[in-house]
Amino acid sequence: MRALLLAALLFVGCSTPPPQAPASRSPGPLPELSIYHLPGAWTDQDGKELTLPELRGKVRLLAMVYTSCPQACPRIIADMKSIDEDLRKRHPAGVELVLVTFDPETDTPERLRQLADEQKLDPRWRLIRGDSQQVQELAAVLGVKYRKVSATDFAHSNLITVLDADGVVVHQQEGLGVERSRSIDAVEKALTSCCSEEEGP
Amino acid sequence: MLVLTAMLLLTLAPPPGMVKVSGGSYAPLYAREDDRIAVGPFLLDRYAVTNEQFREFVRAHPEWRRSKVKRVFADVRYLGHWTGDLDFDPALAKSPVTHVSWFAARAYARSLGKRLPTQAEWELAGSASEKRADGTLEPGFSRRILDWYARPTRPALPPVGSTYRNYYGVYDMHGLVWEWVDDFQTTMVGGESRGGGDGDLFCGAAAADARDRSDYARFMRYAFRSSLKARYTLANLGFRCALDLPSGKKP
Repeated sequence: MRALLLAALLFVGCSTPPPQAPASRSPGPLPELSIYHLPGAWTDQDGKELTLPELRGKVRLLAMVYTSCPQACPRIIADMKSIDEDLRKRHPAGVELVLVTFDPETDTPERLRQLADEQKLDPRWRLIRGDSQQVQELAAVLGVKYRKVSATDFAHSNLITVLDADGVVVHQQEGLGVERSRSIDAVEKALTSCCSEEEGP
Repeated sequence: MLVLTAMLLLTLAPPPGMVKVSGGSYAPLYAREDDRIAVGPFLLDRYAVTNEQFREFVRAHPEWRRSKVKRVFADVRYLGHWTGDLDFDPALAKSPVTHVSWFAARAYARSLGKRLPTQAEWELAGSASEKRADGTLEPGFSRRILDWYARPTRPALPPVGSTYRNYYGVYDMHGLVWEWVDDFQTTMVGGESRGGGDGDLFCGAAAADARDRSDYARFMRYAFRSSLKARYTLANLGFRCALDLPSGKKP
């Protein structure tokens, strides 16, 4: 797991010096407000299982989407990409990005893999699914509203969440194609307070 | 084990403290007329969960004590009307527990092998008057609810069972406390777009308009639910539990 993350980092940021192992930080207990307190196992686009506490240690952008979403979700992903591109001008390693599906019934790991390929998402993106209870609880902590409106469609709020390295929500951007500077500021602040050793000189 | 016991009991009669609510159909506030949802029969607690009952739960599950609960699951006012982790004014023993978050309410329900009612189930049970399954057409029924909404929250809540018993034998659906529902976060009221406002906040086109604007009391409940977050705790917000009937699978 760690090795993979490391490999992913090296892959995307060739010019950066080898980062220190994340394990060198002594993490201590999760902060009270960390969303990583949520229990349960999730599966990613490669069929790998993970629990939320494993996401600790990186600043992340997270959004909830579903693969058969016709309009809003591709735009959420586009907004995340644009935040990430902007950040990588100053932080070559960028951030890690997480997409969580509203629709675990339809969105198998294969479907998630397919979305990742279509959208040309690099390995810093984790596309994950849980059971409907987990999805409901994650949406609840994030304040994401959603409702199944037909066999294939969900109504949902469009929310990109910035999580600090401990999984605490530090910023949320609501709407599509909105001004992204505040999200970028929030990520940069979170990066300086936690992950400075992973940035280039 | 508890679940098994509950299931076993169900084959005979409703478990103690629960009543059967026969199903019906329910039109969500924000839906087209043909989008009525069939609500299967289910079991519902006769009363809202009391302070006394909730204390038994936190005694057995210390992670839900006031001093232990994670802030991501309950805000700082969680059980704020209690005087300690397991203490409250004895006069409140039979009053509905309030200042509980959605997460805490769900954990309580799960500990008994139960669950929270869905919004559709709650609304179906809540639309019954004393005499009829559908009290909404009865003169004065909606008025009474609205009058309650207009009153400020009483500092000390009366005991459960102190308002009215409805057609199903369920008490206090209106007039005592507001109640959590399992899927409160599916409630989306127009103007929800806190940021974007460009009309395409939701993928689904059906999420647009209220069906029946005349049911103002129901509109108030929707607005209230849509303003909640899962960690919020409020002085007038409690809950009761529900349970599937063995054959009560939803279509």
